Amino acid sequence: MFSFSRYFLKSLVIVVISISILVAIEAGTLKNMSEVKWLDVLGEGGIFLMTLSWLVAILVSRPAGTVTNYLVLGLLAFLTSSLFDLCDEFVRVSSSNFLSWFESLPAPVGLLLLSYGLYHWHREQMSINEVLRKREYGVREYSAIDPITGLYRGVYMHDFIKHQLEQRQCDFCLAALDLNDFGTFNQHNGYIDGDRFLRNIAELILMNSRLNDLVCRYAGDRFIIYLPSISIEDAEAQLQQIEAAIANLSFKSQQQQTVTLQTVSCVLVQCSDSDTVESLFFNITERFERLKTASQRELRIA
Amino acid sequence: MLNSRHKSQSLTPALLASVAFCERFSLSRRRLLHGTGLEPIDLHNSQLAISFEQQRRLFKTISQLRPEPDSAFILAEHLLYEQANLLASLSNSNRLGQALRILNAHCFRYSPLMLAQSFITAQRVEIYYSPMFDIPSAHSQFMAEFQSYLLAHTLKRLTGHWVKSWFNFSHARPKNVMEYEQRLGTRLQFNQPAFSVVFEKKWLNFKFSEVNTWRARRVISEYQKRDDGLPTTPQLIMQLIRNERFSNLEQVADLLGMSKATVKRKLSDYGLSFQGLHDSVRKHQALHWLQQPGYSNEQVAEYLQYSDVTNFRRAVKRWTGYTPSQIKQLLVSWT
Repeated sequence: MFSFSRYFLKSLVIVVISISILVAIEAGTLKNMSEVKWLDVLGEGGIFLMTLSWLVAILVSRPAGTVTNYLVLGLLAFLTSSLFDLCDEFVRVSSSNFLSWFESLPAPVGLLLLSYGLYHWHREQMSINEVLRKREYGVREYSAIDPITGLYRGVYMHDFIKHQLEQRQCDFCLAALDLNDFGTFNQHNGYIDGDRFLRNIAELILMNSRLNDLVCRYAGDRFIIYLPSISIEDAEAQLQQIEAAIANLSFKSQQQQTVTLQTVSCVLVQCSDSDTVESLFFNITERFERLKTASQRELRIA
Repeated sequence: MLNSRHKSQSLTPALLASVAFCERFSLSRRRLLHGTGLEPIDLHNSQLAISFEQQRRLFKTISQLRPEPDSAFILAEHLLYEQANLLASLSNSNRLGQALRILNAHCFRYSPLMLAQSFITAQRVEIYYSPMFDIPSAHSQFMAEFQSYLLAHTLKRLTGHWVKSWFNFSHARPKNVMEYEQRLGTRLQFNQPAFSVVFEKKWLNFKFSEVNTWRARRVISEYQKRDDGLPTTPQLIMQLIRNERFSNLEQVADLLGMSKATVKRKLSDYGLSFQGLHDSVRKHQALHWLQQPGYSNEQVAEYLQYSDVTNFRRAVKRWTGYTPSQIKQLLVSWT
């Protein structure tokens, strides 16, 4: 099926609704106000408005494509039925009129289209899940997604590991990376490049991770990787690969300058039976802090 | 010598930082300025100065426009960038202690919306903060995040080292604690009687690397000469309450040669009242002395001029939600 543009679909919705109302008014005679059953108007009007709001939601949130086409066309057909149903309350129609066809026919067709669309949506979702692998682990919480890197935030990792530990699954390592002097990078290149750079780093880490790993942005310029069923030596090796990849990244800033800078600090912890998520995170933070203070030049304190 | 011209500085760093923040995350300037009485076009006026009330609104709007877990920290980062010149000049001072003294004189410009009170003991520097306006608790967490980042990274910027600090927050352990850990380190305490930051005293003696004494003297005197470096009304009154133990508005007004109404008006520019200022100074003094080893509740009560321990206990409980004995236990647990 070729895909309609979203603009076309939006226009289609407006045109169909307008035509339906015109047809309904032309084909029958208006009722007196006293004949209108307001309870029916309320029920049928409610169905119409809800369907319309779903339609709008799909149109504003989904990109154009097969799934969107089916969902919109299906809902639109259903909407037409409910619109005629609603117009029925205000317009008197003789029973033999072709209008009753409009009232009953589009709804089942629409629901069929909608179901077919949902089937495709399922398939689409499966392929998106595949794309999102390494970024998420079974649970989708859009509010925890960091908009800059597209990774989940530390909160997601926190809750995920907490859940793993509750399931008594503690055969994993946690690796964390912290960019050195990222503040200076931001100062020299600006935030827009800084954020773009972070996104590149996120991609690099994802590329260098295994299929079952989970990568999150811990906070700021710190990333954290969940490495299940791995020996500490292998984890070490993988971390070194990531470090090398970042060291070899030549970032192109907006002024077309090539910036290669980043050295990273890395920390690796292995989970043991007695660990809690707090103790693991505390451990990581503390080891970063020790790295920071160890690399400092001698203090000039007199 | 009183400086009431705090409104007359050109483009306040807080405003610049807020605008930069909005630019970074593509938020609309119109919505940022909503409620401040400013229009986007006003930003082109380089002489624009804003009041503390306007600053408060800006920060509040930012926390609502971008309710992400790291917004306060990022806003503080922007404020630091806006103050780069001030920081660069300060590293011409002799030692960190001197730089911090100058910063404190500029505190309303440097760290807006927070009143700081510091105590220096044999081992440590304790800085207590209280918000200038009556800030609802949801927003006070934002302000605490903001202020703690500002201090920690000012120290880092000035010294080039990671200054090990202890952060005590009055709010409960938040969901976004990872943001704290990444930016502030591991020494975090929550549910504390007051918001404070502590670091080792030895840092005050930190010597800056490229001290050129002649240049240093010039820069420092430059900053000390500027009239926004003079103590402001709230700072003076805080000193009077702290050192001279003034406890009512009449005494203060008499000493400053102003009417009570004038003092009140001057304080309200900062979102303060005399009673609020008095309480916050006393609260921080109480907290400081309660954690000094070898001081009993009775001694602290007497020092703070309470007629009896019961009154003192009641006051402390009202300020912090903890009794003096509980505070002693809390503080023992982390020191």
